[in-house]
Amino acid sequence: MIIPMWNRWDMGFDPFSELRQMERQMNRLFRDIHGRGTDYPALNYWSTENEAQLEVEMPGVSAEDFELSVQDDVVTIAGERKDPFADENATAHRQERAFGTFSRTLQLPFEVEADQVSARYEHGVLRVTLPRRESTKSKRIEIQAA
Amino acid sequence: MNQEVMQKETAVAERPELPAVMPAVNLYEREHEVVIVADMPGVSEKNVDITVEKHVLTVTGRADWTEPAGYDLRYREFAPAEFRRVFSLTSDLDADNIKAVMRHGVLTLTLPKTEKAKPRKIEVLAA
Repeated sequence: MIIPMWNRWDMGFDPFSELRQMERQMNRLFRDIHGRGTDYPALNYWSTENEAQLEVEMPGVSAEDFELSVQDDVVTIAGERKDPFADENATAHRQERAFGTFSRTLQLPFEVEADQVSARYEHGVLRVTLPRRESTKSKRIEIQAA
Repeated sequence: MNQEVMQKETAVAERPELPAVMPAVNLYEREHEVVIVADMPGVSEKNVDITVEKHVLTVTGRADWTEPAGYDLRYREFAPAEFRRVFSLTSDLDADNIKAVMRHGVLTLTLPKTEKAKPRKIEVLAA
């Protein structure tokens, strides 16, 4: 799924965050009922004119389980969350956590310098830094006096 | 305003109220123990608080990471939060020997069963 970047919360706070939080909890509830996987991890998107930062919520995987790819202005974060208890003979009394493959694709407002993308996975949150491609940055042109 | 009240107020300001979120939990039972696995993305091992009081186990995790500075937030689906979940323990669990491990935002609690609750093999004697 590609999310267009039309949401702009430049006010410094998001009046709908509470509402969206509830929506997510509701979605999770229904997802659990339908027994689907973690196919759609939550993400935050931050940017400046020349750089973007992504935060992706995905606890319980290791850094190698992520597949991060960038093509021009499209970023895809995919991977698999495995259940370490899957092979075990333990009785499951409650299973609210979902496992399986996930993928999320995002279109940025600028092309990305793919070689300079960096990512860090810490405490179950993946953080990706995406610098803008040098050739697409706006350049200041000096105007010469006649 | 006396000093004690002022100190209390600064302490509150340093730890702002975070929205409470219920973590997703899996519960497994093995022969000798019960395992609770909870998703708490963004919580480091230092920010986990586990208490047992009168057979009530409370697990709290503060996900209060530093958000990127100098960037504009364009789109948000999750935010710093306080994960909190309460369990009531049955008497066959040994509340004094709970083990907790926090890894990649997943908290794993191992609660051993008491000696009495563990399955025992009863020898049958020939008459």
